[in-house]
Amino acid sequence: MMYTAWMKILYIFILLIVLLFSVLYLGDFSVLLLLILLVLPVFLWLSVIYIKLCIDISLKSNNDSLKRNNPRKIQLIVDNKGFLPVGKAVACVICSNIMTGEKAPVYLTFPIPARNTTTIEFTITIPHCGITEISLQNLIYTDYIRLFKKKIKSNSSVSVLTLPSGKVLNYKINIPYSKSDDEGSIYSRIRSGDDPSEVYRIREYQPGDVQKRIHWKLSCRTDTVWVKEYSLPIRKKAAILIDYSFSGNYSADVIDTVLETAYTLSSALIKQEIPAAIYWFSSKTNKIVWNEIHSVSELNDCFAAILSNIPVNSSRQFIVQAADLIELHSNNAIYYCTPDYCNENIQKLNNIFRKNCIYILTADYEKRNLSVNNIVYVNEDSIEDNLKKLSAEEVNYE
Amino acid sequence: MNQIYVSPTFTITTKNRIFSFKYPFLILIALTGCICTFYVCFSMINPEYNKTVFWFVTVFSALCTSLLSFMPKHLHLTGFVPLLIGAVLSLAKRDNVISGAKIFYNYYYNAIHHSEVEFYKINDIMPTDREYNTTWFLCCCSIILCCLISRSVIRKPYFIAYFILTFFPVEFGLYEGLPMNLPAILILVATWFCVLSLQLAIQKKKKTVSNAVSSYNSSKCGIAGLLITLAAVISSVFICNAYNLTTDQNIQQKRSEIRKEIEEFRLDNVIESISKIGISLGIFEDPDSRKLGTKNSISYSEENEVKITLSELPEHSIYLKNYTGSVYEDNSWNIIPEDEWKNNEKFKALFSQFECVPQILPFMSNQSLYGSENNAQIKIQPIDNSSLTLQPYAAYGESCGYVYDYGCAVKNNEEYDFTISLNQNFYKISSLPLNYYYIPSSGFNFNDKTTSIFFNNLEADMNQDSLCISSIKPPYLKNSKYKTQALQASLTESYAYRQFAHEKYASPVFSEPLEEVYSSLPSELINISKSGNDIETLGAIRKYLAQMSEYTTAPGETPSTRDFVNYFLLENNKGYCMHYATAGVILARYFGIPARYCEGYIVSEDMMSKGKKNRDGSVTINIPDSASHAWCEYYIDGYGWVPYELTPGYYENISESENIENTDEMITEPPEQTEIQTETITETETESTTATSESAITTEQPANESEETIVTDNSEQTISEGTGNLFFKILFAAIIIILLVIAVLSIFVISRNYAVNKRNRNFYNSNTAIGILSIYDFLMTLLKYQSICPGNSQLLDFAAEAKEKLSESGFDGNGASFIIKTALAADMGGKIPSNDDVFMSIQYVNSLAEFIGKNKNPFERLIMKYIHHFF
Repeated sequence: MMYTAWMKILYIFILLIVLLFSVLYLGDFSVLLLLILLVLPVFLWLSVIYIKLCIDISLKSNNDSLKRNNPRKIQLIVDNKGFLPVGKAVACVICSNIMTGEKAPVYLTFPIPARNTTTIEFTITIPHCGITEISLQNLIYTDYIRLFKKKIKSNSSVSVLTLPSGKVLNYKINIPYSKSDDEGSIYSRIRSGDDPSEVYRIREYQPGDVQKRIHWKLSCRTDTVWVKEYSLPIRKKAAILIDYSFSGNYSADVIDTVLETAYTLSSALIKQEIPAAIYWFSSKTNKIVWNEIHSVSELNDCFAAILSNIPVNSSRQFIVQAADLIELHSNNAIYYCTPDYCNENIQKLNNIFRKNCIYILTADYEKRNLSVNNIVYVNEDSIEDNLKKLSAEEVNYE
Repeated sequence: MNQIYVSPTFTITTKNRIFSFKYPFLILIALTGCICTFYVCFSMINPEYNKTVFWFVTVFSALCTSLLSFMPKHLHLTGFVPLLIGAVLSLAKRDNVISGAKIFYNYYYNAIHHSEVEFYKINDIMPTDREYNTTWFLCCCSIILCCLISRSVIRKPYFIAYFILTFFPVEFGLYEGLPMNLPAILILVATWFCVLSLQLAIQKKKKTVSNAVSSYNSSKCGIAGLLITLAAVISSVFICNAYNLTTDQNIQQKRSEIRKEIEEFRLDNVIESISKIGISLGIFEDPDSRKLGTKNSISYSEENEVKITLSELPEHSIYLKNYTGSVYEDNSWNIIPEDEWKNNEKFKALFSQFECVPQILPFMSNQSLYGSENNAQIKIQPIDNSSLTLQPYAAYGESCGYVYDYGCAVKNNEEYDFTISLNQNFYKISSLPLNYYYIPSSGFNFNDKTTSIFFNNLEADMNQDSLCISSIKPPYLKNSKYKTQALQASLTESYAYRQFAHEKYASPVFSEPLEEVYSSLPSELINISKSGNDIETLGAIRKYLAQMSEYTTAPGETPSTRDFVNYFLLENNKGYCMHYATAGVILARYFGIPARYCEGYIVSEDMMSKGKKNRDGSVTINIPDSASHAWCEYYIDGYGWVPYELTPGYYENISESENIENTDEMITEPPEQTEIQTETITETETESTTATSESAITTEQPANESEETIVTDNSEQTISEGTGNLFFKILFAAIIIILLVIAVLSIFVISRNYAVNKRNRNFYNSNTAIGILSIYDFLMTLLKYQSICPGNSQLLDFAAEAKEKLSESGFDGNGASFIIKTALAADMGGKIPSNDDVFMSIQYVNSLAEFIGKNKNPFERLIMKYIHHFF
């Protein structure tokens, strides 16, 4: 990359010529030239050492998390405190997706001015979900005639999270109504309703407000007239099971499809104000973790936690543990997203939840004529169309 | 695209504004280069010209070109205008310019020959016109050169062009060693490295970085390069002065030696030339030199090094000489400089044409003293060292050539013969008196050309009635096949060589440390030396050395600052044969005895008695490395060089006095000696002698001589070819093979680089459609290599097939499908791919190539890399 080996060979060649020159040519100059050629590398080597002592390098990322395929800017900051500039330096940055294991080396060639801080901004686009570790391996530079090459090693790295991009569903997901939830123990966090058993919020009186809703006690204490808004009871709940504690090795595309589907589904449910809980297996704690999702930020946080978790293929107990929790949380619908079709798991879920459970599998399984009916096959390119099945008024759960 | 994609474009920003010196700095470098080149040139040649006009033109043209070269876009080409002006001026004023060129050459000619002689006769030109014409010529040169130098620095710094333009005008004077302005040329050297730094600091792929930062930074790198080079220059000057590298006589002498060897390099004898250069550089050991005191100790492996076969065993130890050291300097023994021989026409003719070498003299003398029946044959076979040529004393090699006055060369180094005299005890010879023998001049045919040449070289007075030979034995041999050689050798010894031997080998070596040695010599030794008896003096030296030192094989190294003999005799007092022989020779010479240092093997009587007896009565003796030895050789007038032992342990069994006392009894023909001493050679004898002499001297043609024997010059060559011949042959063959291998490998590397660069140029074509089509071609080649061929299927179907097959092999196939579709669209005039599409496609095909390579074995990878040029 830096051609120092060639320059060394060239230098030795020139040295030999000058040696011959110093013998053949009379006078002092030829001897002096030989001496200069011998002394010069010493100074160049010292300059290289000096530069090494004066340079600090670090990496910086402006966005910690971004959606898939969105360009992301990474900054390499090189601070040269010394008075010697560097003509050409090559930084080797390795981008590796922890989840998929894919790696991409980046070689940046740039000059380093003296007594200055240089920022090299480059763009990477990550196609797969997961945490991408961008680490600066080293910075290689040479002296001014490229005789000596020096490597500055660095531990500087940044982690960036790549979330599913999330498709927009322009239809509603149909969730079966549960009679047991008529009492309404869950209320909307974003809209007021008519259920007097729960106060959604207290606000100032506005003309047109019903008199009986005035909060008299509070209004008496203050000079302002306050009005109570009642809550909107929510009678539907959904559970999304993301099972990637699968048995086989699946490509990043397959995993992306699963995550993308779960994310899209969750986003759609948020939009419909249907609270959803995402259940997933944490390989760090070796337990099932669930996150209640009410907003996009909660969804992103949840996915950040999921993606920081490296998939393992050991836990077939996921379904057993998850089933218990889901039953406890009495969800109306269960969406089981997995890249791994396991008949045993599906039978278990079927036994517990019967028609409430929908299995979301990747399109690859479509060819296999699986015996279970309530399966939705998804393809990454057409998630919106594939999930349309869930919007039917009468979802064929049996 | 399904891989992490890194955009190839990136931006660079700096926290602080970069203040650029780029323009003034580059102009300064260009100007310095122009001025220094001419200044150095003129400081060597010293021409007469109009300085004001010339320097004005130089500075002006350099500045003009520099400024014009900074013009944007194609306007920078106006920088070549001064070049045109220079050319036009040269044509317009061609008479003046040509005349000026001749005058300038005359200045150069005068400077290199240190004379006033003009190479071009231009006496008709007036002095004022001379200056005028020279100025015209120099101004035209200056305009052209300044334009080229400025262009090589400013627009795009290019070191090679700058170096050629600035160095070659100076080179002509440098080669001739003309004195020059050193600071100016050192500044010029600094600018070379500065331009190199500038060139290397400029980014090639300008698309990827901020041009401004790169451009400004490159000038800063140039400045840093210049400063570092100046620091190196100053340090070098300081080192040079501190260690007197330019004035030290030894260094200058060494330079001259190497220069001489390089200048004498002959293509028809490459091996010898290389070996001589190697010797002068100190890489190879000089076979003509022996460094003393460099070994801490000596040890022997007892491995046999030489095998000798003797037809009859002599009574005493045999010395086999391999090396003769004549000149003692810098703690080493060397031979007499070859120039002394080459310039000595007398010995050149006597040694090579008439074979009157001192090496055969003792043998011829022994023929006279002991008779020809006292000879034996010795066959010498060096083991694993074909370059070893050993020479016994009192020997004559029929098929051997002799080198000057010390060595010999044989045709076949693996096995060679000598006829030796069985009497190898030379102590008794030294006691024989020197007699005078008269040979009537009438016996020689001085009208013969060869005879005339011989006697001319002898510088003998041919007008006298008889020729007088002083010798310890009769100069001619009766009924002997050697009588011709014996007479010629005796004449040469008596008339020419004896004097030479005393001049060259009996002069004391003087130096401060040796004078200290001489002043410490005991009075007893000095008194003995005054007696004039060489053998007694040598005996006293031997006794002194034995008293002063102790024999050991581990005496330690001689410090490099100390004289070898001084350290041995006055401080260390320990040594082995090399120490004793050297010190003995130095002391012998101090007392006026011609002496030399010798190395070789000693075949002791004990070793001979253990020899293997053969059926024909001969005895084969294996000589181990422990028999290697160093001794002193001293010259007996009228006899020749004989060995003298100085090392304790080697001479104790020889009873010198006894030998000397019994000398007369041992000589077989003493009556002849006395008769000849008192009488002039009788008529009958004279006739036969004359006839023999005439025949020997007049009939032996140099051509025939050279055919039969190896003349000195050829033998030199034989020696050189012998010494390390095999090593050099192997080395030479190895170098040739390595060079061939490198050349072949270079072809692969260069062709691969060319192909990859060409491919990349196509990939990064500004027309992205062409780029994607090139990528498509490369992809198809890669797929074909993976046995994925489109066959008759449609391209879109093939895209799906390729995707599937690549996915099956574990590589993402989406990229291939994407490239095929995009290339198809571009080819059909549809959507033009974006830069990012192209960059991603490049990244994809490169990673596919890597992926294919990863699954192959190293050999296949090499083929992929250097034959198919995949990566």
